[in-house]
Amino acid sequence: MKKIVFIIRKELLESVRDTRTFLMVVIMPLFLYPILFMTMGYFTQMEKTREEEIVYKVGIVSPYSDSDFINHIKKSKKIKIIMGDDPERMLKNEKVKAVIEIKTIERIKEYTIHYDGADKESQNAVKRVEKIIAGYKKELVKKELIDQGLSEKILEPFTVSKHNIATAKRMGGFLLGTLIPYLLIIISFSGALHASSDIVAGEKERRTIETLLVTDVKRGELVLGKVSTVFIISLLTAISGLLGLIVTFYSGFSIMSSGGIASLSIPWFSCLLMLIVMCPLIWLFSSLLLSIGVIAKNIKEANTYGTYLLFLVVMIAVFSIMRLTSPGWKLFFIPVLNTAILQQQILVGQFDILNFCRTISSSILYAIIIFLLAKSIFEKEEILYRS
Amino acid sequence: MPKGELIEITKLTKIFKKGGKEEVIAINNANFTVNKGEIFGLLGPNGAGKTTTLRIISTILKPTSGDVKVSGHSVTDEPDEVRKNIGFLTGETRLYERLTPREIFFYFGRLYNMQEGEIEERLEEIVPMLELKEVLYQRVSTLSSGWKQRVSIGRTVIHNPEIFVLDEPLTGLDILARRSATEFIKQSKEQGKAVIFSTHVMSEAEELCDRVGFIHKGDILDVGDKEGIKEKIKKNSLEETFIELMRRKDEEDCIYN
Repeated sequence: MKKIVFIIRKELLESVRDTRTFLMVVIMPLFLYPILFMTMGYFTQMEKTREEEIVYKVGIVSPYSDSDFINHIKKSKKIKIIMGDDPERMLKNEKVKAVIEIKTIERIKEYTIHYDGADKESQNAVKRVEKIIAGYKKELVKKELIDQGLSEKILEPFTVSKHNIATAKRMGGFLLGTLIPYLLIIISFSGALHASSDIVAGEKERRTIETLLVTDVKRGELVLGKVSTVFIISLLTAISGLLGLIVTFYSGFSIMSSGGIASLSIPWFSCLLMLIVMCPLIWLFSSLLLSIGVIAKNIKEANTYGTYLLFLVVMIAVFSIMRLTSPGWKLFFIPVLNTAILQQQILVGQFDILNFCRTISSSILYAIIIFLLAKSIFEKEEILYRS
Repeated sequence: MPKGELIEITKLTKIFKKGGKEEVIAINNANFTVNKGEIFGLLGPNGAGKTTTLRIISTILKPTSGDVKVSGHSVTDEPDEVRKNIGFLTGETRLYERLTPREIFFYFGRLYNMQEGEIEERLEEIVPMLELKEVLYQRVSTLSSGWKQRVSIGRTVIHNPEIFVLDEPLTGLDILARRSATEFIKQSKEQGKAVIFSTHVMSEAEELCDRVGFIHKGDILDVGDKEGIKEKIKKNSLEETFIELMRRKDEEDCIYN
């Protein structure tokens, strides 16, 4: 056992002194995602403000003068009317973002909105025009009802309102649950990938592995020491990532904060529980990536194989973003997905002990199997000395 | 194992499987011994099977058949016991660049079951012997190749083994690093250690070895006292002796094939 501690201590010391590892474990997760989310949040907010201020040119094509409608549109200061006769030409040549074509078919007026679906501004202009037309329609109906001596209340015989019983904290948890488990899994995998390729494939590449193999250390101890180091580094990456995300969401500058949810903070207990739930998965990642490190001839090859595996992890984890309605018990036996779903449940405070047991026990079982596989690969000289 | 024999190689064969059913015989039924207080040179061209033999002695590889006994322990049955008794060094071996020599010595000492006090005591002997005092706390990445070779030697001797397995230890070394390595080999002999080292440079063997074994395409061509073997083949140098042995072997193969 003591030797395993010496191996871990030495590997960690080497990792601490490696600038790339420091960047990967601390700087990237702590700052990359926060910067990414803050930038996205900033640009989303900026875009929203800009869109509200913009005045769109809207064309009107009508065989007769529809002064009532035109006067109604003119009330909106965010639309500039241009009269014309060909909607398509107007959209192409006159920097008009939408064109309202007015026709009368069998004494019924028909308004057709022409727009360019591949132009964001055109889409926004349509939304604005639709709102104005809806308002105009309501005004006409109201006027007609009054003319016929009826109350406008006939239009709304009853009202519907929604009452959300979720607290702001739970709503925050629900929103964060969409993204945080997914990101945490990707972050921890990236940390494990970097560490494992350096710790095993790196030893092969730097030709230090032989001297290690002739020491008085059992192969099992070596594998355990190295997997433990990858586990620690990966867990540290996950902690850094979680801290970075907490700071981002708490600061209110992120893209998710722009959704108007007051509280996007995560209770410390939930953070701790999420990390505990992740531990077997991280051990599984560490063992799997260590096996790849043993098989690979050098760091580059280990990173390539690891990246293929990352795609697989992303593919499984991405299902968690879809927020499955009442996930069945079978899902809690699928590695990666089970951890992500359980973390989502932790974030909204729906902690289910059965799902917790299913996730933890299956993940531990997978982690043990993959660890034994890593150990057996490490003992195979034809793999270790593959050339 | 007779008294004085620290390495005993008996009917050692190693076959590598190369993609599919193709097999490569790296060592074919090798037999020889290495005694206490002697330097044994395993001589042969690149690809002859030298490194494979030394890797089996060091327990890095397993024999396909036959056995190697190191201080009476079989590499197949008691690899852990074998590792306690050997110091392994190759010309290709690198060190952990981000650690200091002192950290490396402590790391390997610990892996060899040494206590902190024992390592400190051992360093009091090794550091002056290899003149490492001035670089003991510097990162290996900042050291020259000569210093690195001395640190490698220090790492190899940290647990004071009775056998040294040295795979092409002088290859690619500059003049200073080479001097450190040859001095170390000679000192080891004086201390009564058994040294087996491989090389394809016959002049190195002329300078250092007491006994030699010639290996070619996995076959041990001859083993014996350095001077005796030259006399037996009636050649003046080890290089000429090896070429003559190789010629005879090729002739023999032609007749049988």
